[in-house]
Amino acid sequence: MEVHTFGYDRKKYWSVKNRPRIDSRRTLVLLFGSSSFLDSADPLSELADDYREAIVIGCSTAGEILGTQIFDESVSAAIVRFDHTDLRLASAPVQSADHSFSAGQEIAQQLNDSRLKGIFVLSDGLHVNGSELVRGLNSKVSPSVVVTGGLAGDGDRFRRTWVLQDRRPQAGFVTAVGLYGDRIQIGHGSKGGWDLFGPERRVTRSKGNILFELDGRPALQLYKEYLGERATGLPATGLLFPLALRSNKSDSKSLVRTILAVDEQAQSLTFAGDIPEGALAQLMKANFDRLVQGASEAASSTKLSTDGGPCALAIAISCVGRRLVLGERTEEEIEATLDVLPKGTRQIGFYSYGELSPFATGTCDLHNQTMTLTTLSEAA
Amino acid sequence: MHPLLARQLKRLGLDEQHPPPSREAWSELIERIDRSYVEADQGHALLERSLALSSKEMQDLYATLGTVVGSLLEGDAGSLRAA
Repeated sequence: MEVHTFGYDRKKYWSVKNRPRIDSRRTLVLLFGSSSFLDSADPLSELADDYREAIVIGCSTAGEILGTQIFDESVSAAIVRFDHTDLRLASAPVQSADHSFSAGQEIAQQLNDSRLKGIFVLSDGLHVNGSELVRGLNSKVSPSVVVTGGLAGDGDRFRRTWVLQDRRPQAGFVTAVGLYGDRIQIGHGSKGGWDLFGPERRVTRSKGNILFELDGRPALQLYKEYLGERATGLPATGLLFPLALRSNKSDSKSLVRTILAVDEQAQSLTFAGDIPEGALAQLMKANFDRLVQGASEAASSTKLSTDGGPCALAIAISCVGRRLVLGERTEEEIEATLDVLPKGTRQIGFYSYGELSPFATGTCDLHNQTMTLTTLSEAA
Repeated sequence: MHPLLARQLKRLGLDEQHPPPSREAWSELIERIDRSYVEADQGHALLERSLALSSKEMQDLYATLGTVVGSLLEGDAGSLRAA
């Protein structure tokens, strides 16, 4: 397995003089870039043209990760040539949140066969209900298949996102790559590090991923009260207070949800995943050190070892909310992941509107406000 | 040195032994340091506000609980008296 990572900057162009000539049917090209490439996709096309046989997938971001640095208005790229792993590309349209479940099913059907070991998914970040997408994926693949990935981002603007569809950036699609064979080793880890605070509230009115009321009170009003003057920055500043959800008092597993949009007229908040009526919700707040510790624990959970040789790729998908909170300190969390991973591991990734990964084990779930890592290596 | 300042210097290709080579590099360093001060202040203010609001919410819940328990106890006492 051979792994190369490099970047593109609008001023400095490509960070490597010559791109690796490792095009093949077992080559995976991963690209994460600014949403502005929807207007001019030249660098993306230029790169994709070098790898005509390879599987090329990618999406827009709220910050591109390359090694231990974060960039905006750039492209982070990884070129991976596997020795033993076969790849297959799948895609499905997702024009609105209502199509999320069927899109997940369609992707899984396109990729499913007995040799399938893992699926890495990238989805439109705004027109999707991530919980439903995951439910659709899980409904058609064996629980032993590792499903990870993320929802595309658009900085802190929440206006437009893209995924590569037919090698061009387009809104309204989900794409995925299937990894097949016995030698592929897929690690995953997903951790938050946020602190719960304040009373637990009942979700008294919601529909799908739209939350109207908590304890009979407009949810938007509650968020505005807590945000104070920073409420003018909604929906982005809503990410400062993620919501922890559990189905009832005896449920020890809580999922974290984060805001995608607000509707002043309906006094509602749209989240990246389901907010079921009757569930218990509690606000969360940031603790810098615990967020960075969470990233470190996510890297440990991947259990990536050097058995697969010196070449391994770590795909870090972290929530835009973490970037918003950590600000100038954000790079600490991607340094923390590389500190834990075996020496020589190459890291790229992006800041997202949602992360897809199993918890510790089991089937995939939608997460928000986490650092989620997927590691790819091949057994020797 | 604070790890954040060390990272800011590293990101700009600077180190603690030498001053920034140009006015541009100096401005960029100042801008980054300023941003981290602002972020620290904002984070602190948000934390204080959250603490105050959630304490108030907890106090209100406690007061409501007290009233409910009080009226339940009163009801029980009334029932006992009637019996």
